[in-house]
Amino acid sequence: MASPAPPDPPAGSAPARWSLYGDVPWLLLLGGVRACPSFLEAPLIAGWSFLIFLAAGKQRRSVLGNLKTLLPDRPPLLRLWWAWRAFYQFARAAVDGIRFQQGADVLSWEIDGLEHFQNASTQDRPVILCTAHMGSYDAAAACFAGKMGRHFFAVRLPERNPRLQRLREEGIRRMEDGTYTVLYNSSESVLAVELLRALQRRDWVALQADRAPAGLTVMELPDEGKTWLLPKGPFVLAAAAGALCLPAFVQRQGHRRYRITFHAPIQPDRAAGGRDAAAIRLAHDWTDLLGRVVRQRPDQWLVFEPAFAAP
Amino acid sequence: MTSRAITPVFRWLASSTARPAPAGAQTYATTTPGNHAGEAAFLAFAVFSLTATGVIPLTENISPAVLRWLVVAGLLFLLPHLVMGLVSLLLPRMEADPARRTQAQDWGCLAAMTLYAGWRSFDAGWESLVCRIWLGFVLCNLPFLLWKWGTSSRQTTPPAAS
Repeated sequence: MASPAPPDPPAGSAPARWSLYGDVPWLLLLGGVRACPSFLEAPLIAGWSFLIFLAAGKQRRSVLGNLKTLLPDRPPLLRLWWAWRAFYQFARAAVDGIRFQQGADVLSWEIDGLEHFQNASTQDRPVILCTAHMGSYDAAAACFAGKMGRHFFAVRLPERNPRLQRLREEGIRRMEDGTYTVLYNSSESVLAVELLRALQRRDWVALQADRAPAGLTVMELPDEGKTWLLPKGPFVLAAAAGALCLPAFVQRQGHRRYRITFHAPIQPDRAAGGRDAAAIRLAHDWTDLLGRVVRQRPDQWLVFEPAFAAP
Repeated sequence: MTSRAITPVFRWLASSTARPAPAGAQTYATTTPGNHAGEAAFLAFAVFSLTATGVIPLTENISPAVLRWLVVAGLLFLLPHLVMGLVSLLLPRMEADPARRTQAQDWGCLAAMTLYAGWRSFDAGWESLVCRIWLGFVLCNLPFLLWKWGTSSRQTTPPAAS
C-alpha cells in the first residue's frame, strides 16, 4: 500500500519553533545524534534530560501525578527518581530511533512471549496489537514487521508544528519498507474506516491505547478509586471488528537493547450488552494489564500528560 | 569500535549494566560497533576523568566551594560537547554509511583524548596520573585496536536470530 497523504495539521495555533513541541529542538537532536560518539550518549543524554526535566514543569508534574496515582504507597523521592528516569528513557529511545531511521543497524532485540504472537498469527481473525508509550515503538514496529511476515499499520497523532511534522514524516518514511505503514490520526472517522479495511484484509494494526491527548475521544474508565483517561478508538474498533487484542510492550533494557513482551490476548466479549459494553470490558482488561506492567517498571512509561482524571 | 579483546572489564560492566534476557526469549543481536554497554560505560568514564583533569585545576580560585563544584559539573557536561563538535567538523561528514561515520567519530574522540593525555602526562600531580593511566590503556590495547580497525570497519551485518 502506498504511504498515506500527509495529514492536515491539527486545529489551533502551532507551537513555537523553539518550544518542546517545535522543530528546532528536534533539529538540534538530529545534529547531536550525528555528531555524538556512541560512548558519550548515556552521560550527555543524562545531563540533557535532567535540564529538560527541570524546565518542563507541566510534563514533570503530569508524570509525577501518574506515578502517584498508580504507586501511592511508594516514597515521593523514589517517584521523583522514576519521573526523571522516564525523561531519560524517552531521550534514549528517541536517539536510538533516530539512529535506526538514519540506517544504522544498532539495536538488539529480545522477544518474550513469542508463543502468544504465533498463536494469534495462526488464527484467521483480525488482530490489533495493543501497545503503550514505551521504548522505541516506531523502531520496533518497523524492524519486526518484515521479520514477522505481517504488514503492520501504526497510528500516530500528527505533530502540532507543521515543520516538525515534516521532519518526523521524513524519518518515518525511511523506516517504511512495504511492510510497515504509518497512518495519521487527523480525522478519527476516516481513520476508523481505513483501519477496519486493514483488519478485514488480515493486516495487523498497532495502536497505543494508554493515553488520550487533546483531539481524541476520551473514555473515562473508573478503576479502584482512580479514573483512567483512555483513547476510546482502539477499544471501539476492536469491539466492532471482533478483533483479537494482542498486548505488546517494548521496554528499554540497556544500551541499545530492547525487549518486546507479548502477553496473552484479550478479546472483546459481545455476548452481553453489545458493542459498547464489550469495548468497556476490553478496556478494563487492558488497564489491569497496563497497570501491572507499569508498576513493575514505572520509568518505562513515557506518558507526559495526565493519564488519570483529577480526583 | 574498540577491541572486544580488552574485554574482561567490559564483559563484567556489560553483564552488570544489562538485564538478562528471560529464559526462552528470542534474541536478535546486532554486531555493529559501539553497541557494547560495558565498553561505552568505560569510555564515558575515561572521557569524564580526562576532562576533570583539565577542569578541576582551572576552577581552583572559585569560591565558595558549592559554586566551584557547580562550575566543575557544568564544564564537565559542556566540554565533551565542544570536543564532539570539533571532531565532527574535522572528520569526514560526507561519509554516507552511518556505521563508518559513527566509527570515524568514535576514533576521532579517542585520538583527541589520547593527544590531550600525552600533553598533560608530563605535569605533576593526580592529573598526570590519570593521563598516564589512559595512555597505558591505549598502549596495551594498540595491537588489538589496530587489528580490529582492519576487521571491523564494515561490520554492518543484519541482525540474526540466535
